[in-house]
Order: sequence, then structure tokens, then C-alpha cells
Amino acid sequence: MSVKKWLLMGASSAICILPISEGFAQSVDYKGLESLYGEPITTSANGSPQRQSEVFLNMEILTAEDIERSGARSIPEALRFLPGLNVTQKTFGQTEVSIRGYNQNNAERILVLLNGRQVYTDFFGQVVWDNIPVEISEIKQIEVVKGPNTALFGFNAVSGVVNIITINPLYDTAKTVEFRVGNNEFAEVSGVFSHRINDKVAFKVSAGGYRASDPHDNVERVVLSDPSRLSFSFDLWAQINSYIQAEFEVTKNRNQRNDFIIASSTNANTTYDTGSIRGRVIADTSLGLWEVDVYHNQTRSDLELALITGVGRLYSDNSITVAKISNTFNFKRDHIFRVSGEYRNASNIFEPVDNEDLVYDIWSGSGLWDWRVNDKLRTSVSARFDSFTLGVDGGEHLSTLFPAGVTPYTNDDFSQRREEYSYNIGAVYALTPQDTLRASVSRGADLPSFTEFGLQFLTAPTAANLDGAANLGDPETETSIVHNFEIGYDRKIEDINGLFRSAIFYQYNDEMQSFSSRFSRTDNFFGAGLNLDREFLGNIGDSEMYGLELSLEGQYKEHWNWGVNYTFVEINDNLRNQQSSFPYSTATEYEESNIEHIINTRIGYHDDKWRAGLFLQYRAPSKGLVPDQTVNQKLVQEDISGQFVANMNVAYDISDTVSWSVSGTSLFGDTQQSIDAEVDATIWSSLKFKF
Amino acid sequence: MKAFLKLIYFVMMFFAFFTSQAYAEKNFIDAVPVAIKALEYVRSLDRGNDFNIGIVYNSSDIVASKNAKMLQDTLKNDIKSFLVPVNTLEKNAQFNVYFVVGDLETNYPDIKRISEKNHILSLGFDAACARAEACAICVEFESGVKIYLNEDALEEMGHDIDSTFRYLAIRL
Repeated sequence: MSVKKWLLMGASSAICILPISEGFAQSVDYKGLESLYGEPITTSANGSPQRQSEVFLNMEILTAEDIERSGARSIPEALRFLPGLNVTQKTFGQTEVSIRGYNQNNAERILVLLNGRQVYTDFFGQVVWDNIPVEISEIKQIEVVKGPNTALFGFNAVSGVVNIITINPLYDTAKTVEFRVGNNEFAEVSGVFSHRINDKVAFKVSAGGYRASDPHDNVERVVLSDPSRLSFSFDLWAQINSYIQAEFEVTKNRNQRNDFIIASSTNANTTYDTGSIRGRVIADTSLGLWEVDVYHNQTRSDLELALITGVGRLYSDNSITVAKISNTFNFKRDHIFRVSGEYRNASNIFEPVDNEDLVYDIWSGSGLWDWRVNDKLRTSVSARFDSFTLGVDGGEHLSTLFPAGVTPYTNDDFSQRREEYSYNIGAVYALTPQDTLRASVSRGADLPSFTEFGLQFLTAPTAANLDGAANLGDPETETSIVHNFEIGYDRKIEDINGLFRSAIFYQYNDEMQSFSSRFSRTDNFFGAGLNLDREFLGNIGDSEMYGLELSLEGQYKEHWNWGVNYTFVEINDNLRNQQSSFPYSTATEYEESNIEHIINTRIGYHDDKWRAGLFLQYRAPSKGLVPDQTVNQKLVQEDISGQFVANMNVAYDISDTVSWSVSGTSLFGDTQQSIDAEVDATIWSSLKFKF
Repeated sequence: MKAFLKLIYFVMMFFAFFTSQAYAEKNFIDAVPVAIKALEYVRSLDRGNDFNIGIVYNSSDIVASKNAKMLQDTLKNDIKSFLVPVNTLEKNAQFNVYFVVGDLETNYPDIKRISEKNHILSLGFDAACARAEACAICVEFESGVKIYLNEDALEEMGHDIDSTFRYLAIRL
């Protein structure tokens, strides 16, 4: 704690003593700058505002207008039709999003940020999308950065980053209330209220919640619950003077859903309770644009697991505190540098099994150099170094509830120290005013999560089931390393008022992590013919991926817009668990479960009163692993046929303040987006009031 | 035959001239709202009741005169603006902002001198104006917006700009 205080005080002092420049402290006025340049603006690539077309990263930006036209009521559905993304709905509340393949239950390769604050659950690194404290109508834009970007964003940015940017009450106004009612007993209310108290102070309050039923009657071994969500967020901004802005934010969220957990396709009724508190200061000084950001996230997860032996209960208490300081400055006008330091402290305990919390500390330093070589060429180099220490708060992590010998580890094994580095190198070249080339090379590092390091879960054998099962984290799990190479070409096509984008990429993943890396069996472990199967989390081997993305979008006359995109992803695994030394097939097979081809099309119409959109997705056949009902821990592969997913939205502005819409997802009904469950059509009507 | 070729040549030149003029005019029309919006990021501008803009142009240039008038029409509902023939610049130095319209290369030294002396923010539609320090900001529109910023000129004219704007502009 003293370290954090020191960091915060040091950063604050630094800002206070620095002379003020002629500039003005700014968080970014995205809306204003977008209307100035006619394209979305982002700060994700180098910390300073950039036009999307000038970013060397492969980035998609969904604007508030795009989201409104899609009619999406959740972030994953808004993302579904972007090239390179695989959005797979499992249950009403669970949707998994991956970028360029590797879509698994509890997908942990994607970093999701809310205005730069981490919002994935730190105990496993997965994203519970409905647990993000944001309402759709307060989103300014969603930035999706594809490829490993840990040098720019930090851990979990393995396959990519989703940064959700909300409106800033200093610049934007939002006063909306929206009611939604649909099939499956779905009902939702969502509201956003922003207010400028005076020229210096503004705040935003947003809140929302829904309730629905989950008709997954085709799934066995499910512990069904009614999915629900309650969310609240308060965001206060103050313009301290012309050069300094400060933000204070608190959030609270509770989300209940039916989960498919990656381990042996286990199902769970899961409740996530999260809260966060954040303070941020941005100052424009003669020594650059400084940002100090401190936040604390708290997550309590209650997993009611449907096991072959009955229902098991597991709780996770997870907290993370992050303190960051960064300085972005210009050198000789054409060079932008950013230097950053970050400290994070996290702890996690799985109750009732863990004796004491696992904790880690990470110290990170990073640097970025962005060079506008000339009007046509811009390059960027960034690098990051992380020093990671794992330990046990109190020294005794191993469960005292288990019989001796279930776990092969000692408490000392949980003391780990490691250093990792990552980098991004890229360039963007404007061949002509219409044509742009992008190229990048990157190395990303994916630290194991608390679950992979230290999970201890035992299902004791019974008279009906003679095989007990232990799921055990491995403290020796290595950091996964991802190498990515990518070339992209974009062309503006004025005849269609549109844009063609393309990218080819190759990725090599070294020592991937999985819920199921190796397996051992001890007959008669519990005596009297009662056996123990141990399934270890940890490294599973290597996997390479290559692919292609093509997209074309345009406008027809004043009112019509359209788009079509195609993503091809091929995965070749070299995984150890596919080898014959394992008696049973285990839970991870990226190659077989990959959807090689995804095609998206959309057409939209809008005028002064009407907005309408029709979205269609084709997903090529793939395979999935399901439990063999006769043998504990054994999984078998089943085919998933090619699927069509259709979403639609029709909205009408009744007046300047009231609009009405009808929207739907998975309209064809009973869509099998994954092996786990078929997804029903959801259709709802919405009434939105703007004040 | 020669006469025929000449005719074709002149016809082509005629169309080339007028299409390039039309193209340039369209780019100017597209650039105008961007230039007006860019003023919002100049924090040192006093946008009170007396705020006014001088539209500097060459009155003997037909296209420039037309564009200057069009610009004045665009501004008329929101901002007071006046047409300022470049040869009357000395007598018209009471403005907050100059919009520099058309090719005034030979007048850049005068525009620079008068803008700096009277703290007038000079904004043009040709990067050459910014390169010559006669304009602090220039907006060009060709397959998208390009905004040039000459920070030395901005400073000499006594103005200050939002840092996010500065990062996005092409800095000269």
C-alpha cells in the first residue's frame, strides 16, 4: 500500500511543480474532433489523438451512430458484424467474443477496457460483458484493436483490445431513458443523465437492469437461473483550470447468468458482483501531456457448478489496484513520445478451498516513439517491460480441506518471479490520398491468471461415481508468448462513398494456456475402489494461425448504407494434449473448433424519422467438445453445421424526444453458435425518451 | 489536320481547366465548414459580440471573388463577416480572424505582417499560406480533410490552440 501511495503522491507532485504550457488540458472531445475530420478519432495507438486512417494498428471503430443503427442492446451484438471478430452466444447472458480465432468458453485472450480501465475479471481473465457498468446509449465509440498489443495496453491484450469510450459530460450531453420488452420474459430499463453544474464541473449518472428467462431446455446438466443485470455508474469531471482536468468514478454491477465453463463443458449458474472506484488527473504542461490514473476493482463471483456428482459451490473474491502515470510529449513536432509506468497489485481467493489469498505485484515500464516521417509515412515503435511477482498472502495457499496428496505442489511453489517484455513496431504509408498501406510486427506476453496458477477444486467420488476429480492450477505455468505479423491495405472509393479494407496476418502462439493441459489418474486414491482423476491447468503447447480479412462498405444516395466483410482464419495446433500419452481427450482443440470462414453483410436505411438495419452472418461448419456422459472428464468431438445468424432493427422517431423500435437477434431461432447450446431468437420492442 | 488537332487540344484544355476549377471549388466548399469548426479549438479567440471575420481575397480574381462571397453567405447566420480585398488589408485590421481565400502568394508577407501586428488569427485554404507563415491554420480537402498548423505563426499572431487539435494537425 505504501508503494501505491508513493506512486500517487509522486505523480501528483510532478504535475503540481511542472510549468504549465500554452496548451490546454484535455481529455478528448471525440465527437467534436470526429466532426472536424470526418472520421473517428482514437487515442489508443499512442496516447495522443489520431485519426483512424493514420493508425498503424488494425483498428475498427464503431461509432455511437453505428451502434444506434444496429439496434444492439449489448456490446457483443454491436461487435458481431465486424471483420475478424467471432461473437458466439452461449446463453441469454453469456456471449464469448474472440478476435481472429481461439474462441473458447471464458475466452481470456482479449483485453476489454472501459475508458482505459480494465473491466475483464482478473481471476480468470475472461470478460463478463453484461457485468461491464455501461449503458449502450452512453457509449461514444468502441475501438477494437486486432492483434497482440500488450506493449501498448498490458496483459490480456493477446488477440486484441476492445476499448469502450463513453461520453464525457464536460463535452457531451445525454439525458435518455429507454424501456425494452421482449420474448423470453425479457424486460429492461436503461437510463443516462449528464449535467454540467457550471463551466468547471460536470457529471454523468447511468443505470440499468434487465431480467429474462433462459430457455435452454435442450441442454443437459445445466443449473438454470433467470439471467439478470443491475448496473450503476457515477462519473464526475472537473476542469480544475485551463490545463488540468480531474475525474472521479464509481461503479457497481450485479449480473446473474447461466455459464458454460471451459472445464469439461461444465455448466454453472454464476453471479458476478463487481465494484470499482477510480481517480484520474490529466494535465497539459510544458513537459507534455501527463495522465495519472488510479483505480481499484473488486469482483465477487459465486459459481454454482453443475457437476456429474451434483451441484458444487465455488466463490472467488478478487481485487485489483492499478496506478499508472504516463507522459506524452512532442519532440521537434514530428515525433511523439510516451513514457509510462504502472504498478498493479491483485489478490484472489477461491472459497472455501483456498487457505489464503494468492497475490501478485507487477511493475511495468513502457515507452513509445511515433514518428511522422513525412506527409505520407508514419512509424511507431513501442516496448514494455513487466516484472511480475506471485506469492501467498500469509504463506499458506494450499487447501487444508483436501486429503494429502491431491495436489503435488507445496506452498513454496506459489512464490514466483518473472520478467517479460513485449513490443509493437508498425508503419502506415499513404500511397495516394485514397490508398493506405499498414504493416506491423508485434510480440505479446500473456501472463497466466489466478485460476491457471492456483485453482484447487475437488469433486469427491461417490458410490454412484467412483472417480473423484481434481482441477488444479499449476504455479509453474509459463507466460504465453504471441508473435504477430500483419500487412493491411485500405482504399477509399469515392464512387460509392465507401472504404475497402484488407489485411493478411500470421500469428504464432508459444506455450498457450488452457484449463486442461495434462491429466493423471490414481486408482484407489481414496481406497475401496475410489479413484482420483487430476486435470491440471497450465501450458498446453503451441498453435499458429494465419488469415485474411476483407471488407467493403459504402453508401447509396443519401439514406442507404451497406457493408460486406469476410474473415478467413486457419489454425494449426501443435498441442501436447492431443498426443496419445493422455488417456482421455481434453478440453482444448483450437484447430478443430475454429470457424474458418465468417461472412457478414448488412444493409441500412435512415432518414429524418426512420432507421432500419438488416444484418446477416454466415458461420462455416466447425467442431466442439462435449462431455461423454459415460466417463468422467472425457470429452468427445461433435460437428457443428454451418449457421446463419440474422439481426434486425427498425426504429421510428415519434417526435424529437420519443423514439420507438423493434429489434431482434438470432432471428432464425435455435441457432447453434457453439457446441454448448442452441440460441433462441430474441425479439424486443423499445421506447426511448430523450430529454 | 493540324487545325483539328489544335481544336482537340483546346477542347481538352477547356474541359481540364473547368473540371479542375470545379474540383477545386468543390474542395473549397467542403473545406469551409471544417475551417469554421476549427475556430472552436482556438481557445484564445474572444467569441463575444464583437467577434468578426475578414474574408481576404483578390477582387480581380473571379473564382476567388465568388468563393469569398460564398463563404460570407455561409457565415452570415452565425458570425459577422466582411469582404476584404487584399489591396485594402492595411485599412481592415480590426478583425479577430482572417479567412484567406484564393491564391494570394504575393500578398503573404503583408497578411503575415498585419495579422501578427494586430493579433488576427489568419486561416487559409492552401497549405502554402501556412508554410509562408501568413496563415496559422490551413484546411485542405482532397479525399479527406488535411489541417496544417504553423505553430510559429500561431504564436506570432498571439494565439493558442487546444492540445488535442495540435496533435491531430500536420504541424509545419
